[in-house]
Amino acid sequence: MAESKSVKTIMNGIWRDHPVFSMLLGICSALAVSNKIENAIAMGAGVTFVLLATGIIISLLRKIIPKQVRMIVYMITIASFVIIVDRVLKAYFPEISDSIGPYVGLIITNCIIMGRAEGFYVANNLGQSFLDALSNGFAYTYTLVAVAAVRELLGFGTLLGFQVMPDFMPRWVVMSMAPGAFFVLGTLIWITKTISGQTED
Amino acid sequence: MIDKIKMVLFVLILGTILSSALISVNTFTTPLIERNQAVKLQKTVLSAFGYSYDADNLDEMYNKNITALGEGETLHYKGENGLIAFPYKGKGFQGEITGIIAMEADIQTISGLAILSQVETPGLGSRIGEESFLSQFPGQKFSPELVFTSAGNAESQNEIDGISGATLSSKAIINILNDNFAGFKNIVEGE
Repeated sequence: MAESKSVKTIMNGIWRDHPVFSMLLGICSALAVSNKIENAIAMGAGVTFVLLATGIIISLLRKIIPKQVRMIVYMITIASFVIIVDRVLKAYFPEISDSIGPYVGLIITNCIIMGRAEGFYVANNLGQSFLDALSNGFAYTYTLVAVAAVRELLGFGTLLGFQVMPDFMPRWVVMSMAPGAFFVLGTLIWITKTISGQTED
Repeated sequence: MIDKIKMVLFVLILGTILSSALISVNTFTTPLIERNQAVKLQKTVLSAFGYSYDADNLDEMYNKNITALGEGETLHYKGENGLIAFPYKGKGFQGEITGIIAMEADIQTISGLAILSQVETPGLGSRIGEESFLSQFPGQKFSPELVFTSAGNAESQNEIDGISGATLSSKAIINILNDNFAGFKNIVEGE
């Protein structure tokens, strides 16, 4: 059965061309904010929102964007929406803003957004771009949450802030620090590459 | 040539549209953000003094129990319960840490500590804001100053356990308090 274009877009986003596992984009923020599930969800939601907004704007304007300045156009679109996310978080969700505040600005430099804009939105229509943004945002979020679940469990003994590990279990402090993220993300990439059968050429 | 003009015009128009979007978001959210900051300051002061509050009676609790005195450098707070509190600020591991410290009338014994703002690494240094760390301070004395010990080793009245994984941030806040402490007596004497 031939799969429709939309199904293909979604499957590419959440698995085959997975932004983190397959294309290794957005690694720095995946490492930085994945020590607690709460932070991972907030960051994932922020990135998904900016992806969606950028996807909509760029795909609508794709026929009239002069190609010499397309990078500048991506950049100012992304930057504007990131500032909007930051202000809205500060105004309506001050607690979340306090916990991931310094990282919100870093969404601008998240290469998934730039990469999808150049690789997909500028060449596809609104519907496809919307699906692509949604599936890539979802892929980024579930990756962050998966890494965060392992790190929060081993590093703090909690899941989403609730105590799960018994008190006598020693906390793996390294898991709550940056090196822990490298171990967990590396292992996850190894597992997913083995499952999907992708290898380096 | 026509292409170049189109290019410049395009960027100009898109830039204008996006800037106006930003300006409207800014006008719309600024009062809310300022209100949030004011609420956060009230909450921080109340919790340093050890008053409990909820969202509904915040203003009432604050106005009833707390008097702000002095301004700028000499700003401090007096509570109905006889405590006196000072704002403190200084350099943390990542950036500025500010907060409120409540002291007993001797200006030596700490009765409560609260953090107003900090930009320490989320999940690591930011844990200096957790109750388990802050609850060590009440009862401790600046004699002659606070001393950092590694987790689980605090014994005397001036020792504070650090948080493993947040050693630098724990050290930073203890240093900030020691630095600020010198000024507290002057503020009160200057009244």
